[in-house]
Amino acid sequence: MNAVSRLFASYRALFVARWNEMLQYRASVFIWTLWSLAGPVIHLSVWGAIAEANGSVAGWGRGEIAAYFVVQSIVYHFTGAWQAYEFGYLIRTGTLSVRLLKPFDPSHHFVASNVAFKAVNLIWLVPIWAGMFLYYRPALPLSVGRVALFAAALAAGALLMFLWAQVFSMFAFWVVRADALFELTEALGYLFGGGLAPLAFLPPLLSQIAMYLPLYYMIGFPIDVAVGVATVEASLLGIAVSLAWSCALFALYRVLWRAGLKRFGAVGA
Amino acid sequence: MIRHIRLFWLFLKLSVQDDAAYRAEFWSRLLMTLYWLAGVAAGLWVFFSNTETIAGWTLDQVIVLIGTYHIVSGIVRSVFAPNFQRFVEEVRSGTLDFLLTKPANGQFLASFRRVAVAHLGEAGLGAAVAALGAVRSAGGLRILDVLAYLAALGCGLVILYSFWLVMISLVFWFVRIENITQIFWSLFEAGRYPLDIYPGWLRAVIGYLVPVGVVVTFPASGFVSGLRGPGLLAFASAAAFALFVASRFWRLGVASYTSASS
Repeated sequence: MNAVSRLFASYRALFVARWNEMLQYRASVFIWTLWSLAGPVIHLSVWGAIAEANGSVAGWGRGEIAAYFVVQSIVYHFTGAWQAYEFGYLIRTGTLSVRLLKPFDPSHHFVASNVAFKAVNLIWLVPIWAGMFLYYRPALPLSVGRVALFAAALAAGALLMFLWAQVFSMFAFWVVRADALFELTEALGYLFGGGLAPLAFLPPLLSQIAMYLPLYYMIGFPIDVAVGVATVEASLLGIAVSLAWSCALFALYRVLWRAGLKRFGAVGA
Repeated sequence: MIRHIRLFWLFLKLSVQDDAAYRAEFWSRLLMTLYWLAGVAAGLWVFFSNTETIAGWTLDQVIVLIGTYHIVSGIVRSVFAPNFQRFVEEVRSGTLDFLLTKPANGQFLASFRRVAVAHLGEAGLGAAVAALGAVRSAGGLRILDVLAYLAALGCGLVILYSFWLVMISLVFWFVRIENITQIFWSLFEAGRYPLDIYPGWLRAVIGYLVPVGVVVTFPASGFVSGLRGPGLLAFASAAAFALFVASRFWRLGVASYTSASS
């Protein structure tokens, strides 16, 4: 067997294991999903109320706002990454050693777990999303081109968010509560990433800061592509920027991983 | 009653002594809350740079609402949640027997044994934020408004406590229910904003079924519409009724509790 097909076989095994694990704890998994829907529904309600009172917000009507937040619930699901919490635990308890013994980079576990979680949740999320579409009646300019662009932006965003979480995981080699650091960035994403509101609603100072952070490309950007705020050129450019961020974060992650491993071994854990 | 207040004071003192060993936890929690409040402030900036009011609430009124949200959140996290968690573990392992045989009201002991002091900081900061909003609000601060607010907040907390008591009593029949609290937190999140923004059915669920709205929006709305005698009286009787029903429910639960070994 060559290396690629071996990796593929390992991935299949990991994925099946994770999938079964998720199904085992389906009640907890389902409740986490509900939790992820709370934000979009709440902010849709706030901005919807504001739009109704003022006619529109920054030129967006109620339908456009509904579209933004309904798509947001989809984007949150597909771009989510949370291994920083798990990795911190592996280091604190020393269980990382066990995984290091296997001839297999431990990060593959996180990839498999991430994909399995997202796949399992689709079982109930697809009907929930369908319900949200029917209930909120979002004004979405659907076309084959848009959907393809959206899918590409979404994939780039998922990759970026995963690598971002991976970099923050690595900090666990040096600080005890690296997961708390990651939690801080989640609050930033909420404000600068397009969680609280479309970037178009932000005061100029905040939206300017947002453009220089990778957070926008994980949440707000795929949504802007889907709802048609970003033109085709802007979408393609955004995907390129997103991928560039991913390359930079991947390089940083590999450097931190090597340095961290040396340190981890040196402690004698 | 006096005895229970003295007991609670004792529990509080013991908790402070216990948690004094983890002072860093207290300060880091406080810092985290400050950080989140900075985020909330930035959020308000975003909202109010686009509008004058949210569903009729001005900036100052929303500040009171957010302060109230954090007072309640701090109290739930420091008192309701930790006691609940311990209680659930005890029912599962059967060690609840030790609690029930103590010469004090079991419901009282199960709900107030422990105070997670680290989370009290959030309640304190919430109170400061609410005070800020109240002072800023047009027309100045009236002592009557403040008293009405405190009374409404007290009633709201009693209702929320009753809700938690019913929730935790369910553990007597269904042993695995920690997930219920996660649902509570999802819905509680919605209390950050005036309830008036939600569609009717959702408002009914968050407002009254899971009494987030009653405990957060209602007291804060006193500064909006001026909460007075009749409304407060109705609220107080609702709280008394809720507490009565919840205590009954708890007793039913205890009656069906058979300990782990039997």
